[in-house]
Amino acid sequence: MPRNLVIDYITIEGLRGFNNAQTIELNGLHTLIAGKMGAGKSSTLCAIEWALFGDIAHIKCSESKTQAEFVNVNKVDKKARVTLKLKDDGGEYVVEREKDANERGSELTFSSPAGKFEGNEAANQIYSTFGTFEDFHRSVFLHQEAVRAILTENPEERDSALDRLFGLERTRELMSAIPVTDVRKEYEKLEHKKTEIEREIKGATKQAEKEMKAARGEALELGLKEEDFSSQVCIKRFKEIIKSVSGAAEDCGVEKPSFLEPANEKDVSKGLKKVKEVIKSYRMQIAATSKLNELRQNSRQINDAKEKLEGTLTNLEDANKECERMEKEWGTIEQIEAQENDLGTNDEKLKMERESVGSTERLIVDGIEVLSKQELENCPICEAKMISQKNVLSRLKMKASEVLKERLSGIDKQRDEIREKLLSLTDYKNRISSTHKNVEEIKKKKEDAESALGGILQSKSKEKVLLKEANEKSLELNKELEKVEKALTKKNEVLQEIEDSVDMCRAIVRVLEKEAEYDRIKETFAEEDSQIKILGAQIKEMSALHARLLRISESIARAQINLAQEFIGKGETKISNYYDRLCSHPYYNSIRVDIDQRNVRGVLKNTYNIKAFNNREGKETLISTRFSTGQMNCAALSIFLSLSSILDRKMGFIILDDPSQSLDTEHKKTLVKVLEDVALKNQVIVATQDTELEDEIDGGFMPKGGYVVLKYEGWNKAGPTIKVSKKSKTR
Amino acid sequence: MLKSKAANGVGPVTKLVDIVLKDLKDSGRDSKTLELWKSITKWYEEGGPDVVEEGIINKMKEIKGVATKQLKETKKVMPKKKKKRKTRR
Repeated sequence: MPRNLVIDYITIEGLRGFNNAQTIELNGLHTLIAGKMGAGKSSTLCAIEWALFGDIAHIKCSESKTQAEFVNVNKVDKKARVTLKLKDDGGEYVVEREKDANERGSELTFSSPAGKFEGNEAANQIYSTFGTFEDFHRSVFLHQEAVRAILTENPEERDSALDRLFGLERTRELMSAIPVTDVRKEYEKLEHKKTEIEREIKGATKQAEKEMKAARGEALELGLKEEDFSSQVCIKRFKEIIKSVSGAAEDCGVEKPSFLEPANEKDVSKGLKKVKEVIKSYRMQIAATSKLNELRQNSRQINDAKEKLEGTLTNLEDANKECERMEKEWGTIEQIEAQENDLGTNDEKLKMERESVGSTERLIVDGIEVLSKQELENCPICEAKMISQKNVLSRLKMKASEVLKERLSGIDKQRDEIREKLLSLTDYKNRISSTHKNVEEIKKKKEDAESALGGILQSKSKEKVLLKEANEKSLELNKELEKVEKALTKKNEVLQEIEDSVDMCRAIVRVLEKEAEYDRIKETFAEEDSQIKILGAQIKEMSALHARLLRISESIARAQINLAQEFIGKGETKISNYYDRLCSHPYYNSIRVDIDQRNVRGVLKNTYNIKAFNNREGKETLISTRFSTGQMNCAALSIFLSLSSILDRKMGFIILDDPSQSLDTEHKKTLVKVLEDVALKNQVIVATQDTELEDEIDGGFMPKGGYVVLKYEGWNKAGPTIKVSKKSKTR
Repeated sequence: MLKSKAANGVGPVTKLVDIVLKDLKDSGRDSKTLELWKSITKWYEEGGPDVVEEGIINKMKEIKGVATKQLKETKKVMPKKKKKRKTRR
């Protein structure tokens, strides 16, 4: 039976764990690559993958686009080189790939019976000769990482690993690379901006329309008519205003201002501003040159002085009257003083009388005291016989005391009255004196007022005569003032008329300006409309791009699920057979892979459920929840081996990297038997660190033609130390 | 040795290209969608997922660039907003 392509030898230099060039000769034989972890086994297998496709699955060089990580760090020239020779019945095929750590990509040559090819041509020849990267992973190379990912708890990682196993990794990668969501977001952003601008334009048009209507309303209120809202009328009115301003300048006696000939309402607007300023200056000029202020000031001065004099005269009259009334009622100060003197004399007399009554009292008391010391038979006053001297004297003393007290009381009363009267008189005197003083002060004020008014009128007249003169002067001034005011009012009326005309002309200008603004916005909007249409077209294009990408994504998703279903459909029986042999589960005797799709951040991805069945009892279970990792490894190996046996592939070799992960001895034995079967049609290359599996192969793997054992005994900076031996035991 | 362009990318995904192309044709998609798919596969084969993303982003930027320019032009001729007077307290 003709064999497909098998590996003859591989020379590795500077790739991953290899530094110096080493040639590993397989000669198309089955190969066991054994050795400890990190000895360079996987590097050897990856060298085959890299030589063919320039890439190594599971090694993501996202941080460096140059994929410098592939090159050995100790390699002096920083270059990796691999030469892979394959052969089949038709001839020999040599792939040479070289990579510089500092550069992107790699250099490639490919020699085959068809010729020698380089670069892209070589790559295309490789794809057509050996199949694609996907085919390689689907049916040739089972990475240990792929198996490990299937055994994980994380469903997303598991799905990704199964995609890899089905050779759909690139499809998944391609799906994820299409930024459908980003395009949608951009499209929405643009749409939002467009809506915003449209709203702004509409708002501005409405505002301009509102302002135009308001300007019109104001102008009509000023008495203007619709037909006045034209540039011609505006200019005509302005020219009339200029004429009026010139006339006013003559009246005011100032120089005529110069104005530019207006061409449009913009010129008119500027001119009107100037007119306003000119009118303001005219008003100031008129005010400054007229006698009005002087006359007003003089009249005010006279009136003020006159009022002051009139006031003082009235006050003086009132004060004099008050003085007269007081003197009439209480007498003059001299008269009051005379009364005070009389009252003082009376008081003195009463004082003396009181002292005399006091002396009398003491005399009587002393006399009675003397009498009490004597023994009297008769009363000393009435000479009547006294029964009790003591009682008589006591009564006498009491009687005399009463009389004297009465007298003293009368004197005191009189003196109090005198004192009261004296107080009143002092009050009168003070009040009259104060009024006199007031009169004097008013008189002084009156003189001052007379002097002031006389000064203004230049007159020496006094009081009423002076007031009369002031009245005459005031009348004269008022007449003159009236005359000046009349003249001034006339001038101001002219200026006011000009200002009114300015206001009307300004109203026209405003209407014209607002109309122009509205028209401009309307026109711009019309222009905008077309601009917005262009913008709309861009947005539509973005939307179309989004729709196309969405359709493509949907198609890829469909292709993804169809491909997986196709592979599973083809290999369903074989998967179960391999599983039954490899796993030999005591209850579940077959497995099935169900495929569905789920949306992961806007990208549809395959999701897999591997179920185990008991066909006899019709029971099923999810292997991820029920099976051990070893049993799951069996499931992964079953899928891979069945795909490699059913798919049409051009490579006649199978690479299994660490296939005995988590398997017990019994299962390892079964695996070796299965491999022996696989070896009937394929060159089997197995890498393992598992010494038990190594022993099992050594004892139980007996393929036709024997097999090569590559013992990776150690590693140093130069690369792995490989011992090659051949086992030729066959059944 | 010549540098292999394909070595920067991923090589052919022929089967997928054909399946998707057939699916797009069968579902009556326009020629632009088919062209876009061809471009995507070409980018992918030449440079991998990064180049696909870059290619689509560039297409998007191209459209966005014209649209943004248009937006700027439109804003230029927009009437200026009137400033509101601040009320003094």
